[in-house]
Order: sequence, then structure tokens, then C-alpha cells
Amino acid sequence: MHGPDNLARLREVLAQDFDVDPAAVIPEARLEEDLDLDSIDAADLVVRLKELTGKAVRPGAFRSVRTVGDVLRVLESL
Amino acid sequence: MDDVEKAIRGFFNSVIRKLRFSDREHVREPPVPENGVTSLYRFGRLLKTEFFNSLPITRPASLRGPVAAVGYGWRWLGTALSFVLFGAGSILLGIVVVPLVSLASRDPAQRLQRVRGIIGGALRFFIVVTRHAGLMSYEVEGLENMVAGRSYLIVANHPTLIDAVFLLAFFPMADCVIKEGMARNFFTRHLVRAANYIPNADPVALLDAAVARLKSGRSLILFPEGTRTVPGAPLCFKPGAAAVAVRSGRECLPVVIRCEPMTLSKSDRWYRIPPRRAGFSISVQPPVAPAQVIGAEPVSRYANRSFNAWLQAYFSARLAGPG
Repeated sequence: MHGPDNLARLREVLAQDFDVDPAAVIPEARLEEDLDLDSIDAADLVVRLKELTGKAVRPGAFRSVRTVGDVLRVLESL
Repeated sequence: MDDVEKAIRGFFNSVIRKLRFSDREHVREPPVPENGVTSLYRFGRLLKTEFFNSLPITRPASLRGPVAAVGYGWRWLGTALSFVLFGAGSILLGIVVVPLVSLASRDPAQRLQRVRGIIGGALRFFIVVTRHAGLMSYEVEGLENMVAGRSYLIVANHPTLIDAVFLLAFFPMADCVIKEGMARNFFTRHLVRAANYIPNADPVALLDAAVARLKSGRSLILFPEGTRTVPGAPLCFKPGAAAVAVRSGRECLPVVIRCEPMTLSKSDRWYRIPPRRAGFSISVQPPVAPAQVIGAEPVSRYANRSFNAWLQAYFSARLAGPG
């Protein structure tokens, strides 16, 4: 999977399930401050990504995630 | 003859000199050369000063008189002893009592019931002992707001270290979330497993487990702040508890905990005991269902957020009001 692919996917998920403006989803965007996602949203996002990729996400893999770029890195490491 | 005279004069002169010398107080003593005895003595003095300076017993200025001082000293000692009691009791329960009870109970439901009963009993014993020792006082009201056999999300503010002790003493059959470390620690892991508490390892798993426990008809204790209140700062509820409430649809049982004078808060060291005995007030409020507050909105992040905001305002208002 390529990076841009994942970014497009993440944009779609965030727009559909979390009402986030796709234009705001750039690698530098911070989940909490810029995209207004709280810790529960982050947990739900992990679940959604798990469903989408069909891969098991290591518990705690998302613990240090702060930005969209961090999410993409976790997705690529799967 | 001259020699004798000289000698006598010399002797008197030296005595006079000595006398003069000792008369002059401001003259510094000549430095005593260090030997084994003096260095030991100096070390002792150093140690003593260091020791007394380092002692955490700094009596507040408001405490005057021998009775108050004795009371303060006792509460300090008693606080230290109660920590020892709590630790020793946890170890005894964790590696002796609970494993034995687990072995003796075949049926898992019965085992859970027994183990939680024992933990609740031990915590009530702890509360009674510390209260009768004069270390704290407490009053509890509104326990009748909880109808036996119903499932509630018990939400409480978290001012002190011992809030969970009170809550588990009053609601021993409720589930609660514990630090993941306790699920692994040698002394507590049997206890945690047998009591089936939820470790706070992974946020996704925690959220799912919390909702699942409530839906299976159990009650659950959560501190929405996630950690003890920062003294002086406004309440800050994390979204987790509200999300569990909204997703499970269970009634919330708000428990407002106050402590005056404050003790064992996030910024207090355990040995900085308050000038007066700490008084706790634990007030169980009537249950509130999320749907009553946010309407029949479907489960969404907006529902979470508005219920969390409501809950935080609810507690803030009650904590700001008169005791």
C-alpha cells in the first residue's frame, strides 16, 4: 500500500464517520487540536481502520499517535 | 634567685593571660583538630540537624498548644500506620485469602461474589479503623438512590487517593477499572483476576469491556476525570465515562465527593497531613439516564460530547455549592 492511498482512505473515513473536512486532513494536522477528535474518537478510529484494513492492530500501537502523519505511519507498519 | 623570680612571674603571667583570654567571649576557640571522637560527634550533629530538618512534620502555625500538637503527631503517625495497614492487608488478601477462597469456590459466579464481598468487607474495616483512630471522618448520604439489582454507571469526582476505597466499600459488587500494573503485580494479580476488575490497558478494549459489563446487567464505577482532580483547577472530565454511559444507555449514579480540609490530593504528599482531621462527604445523587439529558439522539460523538459537558457542569455546580 502506498502512502497517498492510505491518506485518501483516512480522509474518507474521517469525513464519513467523524464529520472532518477532507481538506483539513493533511499529514501535519493534529488529531485533537486541528481535527477536533477526542480520545474516544481516536479509539473509534482505530476500530474503523482495523475493519478497513482487515489487519490486527497491536494494542497500544496508537497510544503515541498525535497527528494524521502518525496514523499513516502506523497503517504502513501493519 | 633571679631564675626563681622569673619562673614565678612567668607562671602568674600565663595564668593571667589565660584568664584574660577566657574573659573575651568574642575570641574564637582555636580549631579543635579532628580526631575519631570529634568527627563522630560532628557527624552525629550533622545527622541530627539534617534529620530534623528533613522531617516532614512541619506543624502549621494554626496549631498551638500541647493538645493540638499531640493530636497532630498522632494523626501523622496514624496516617503512616494506615498506609502500612492498607499495604499489609492488600498483600494478605492478594496472596493468601483470595487464592484460598478461589480454590474453595467452584462456581465462578459464587467465587466472584465471595471475593468481592471480602474486598468490600476489608475496605469497610479499613474505613472504620481510620475513622475510629481519629484520622478522618465521613458522612454518606443518598445510598437509597441505588436500587438493588439494577445496573448503574456510578460516576464520581476524584479529589483524593481514597475515593475508590469509599466507593468499593459502599458498592462492593460493582465492577471497577484498575491500573494495568495491578493485574500483573505478584501481590495483587490474583485479587484482580478473582474480582474480575477491568485493567486499563488498551483504550479500545477498555471501552468495549466497560459497555459490555453494563449491558450484562452489572454496575460499573468510573472516575470521569481519569485521575485525581488538580486542586484549585476546574473539573476536567475526559470523554470516556460519558461515552460508556451513552453507548450502554444505562442510568448514571452521580456520586459527589468532597473533602475538607483537603488531604491526599494529587498535589499532596501523603505525609503532609491537614491541620485538622479531614472530613469526607459522599453524596449519592438520584440516577440520571443519558437520554433524559441529551434526548433520544442516536449514539454519536456529538451525543458523547454533550453528555460529557452536562456531567462536568453537574459536578462543578454541586462542588461549588455549599457543603
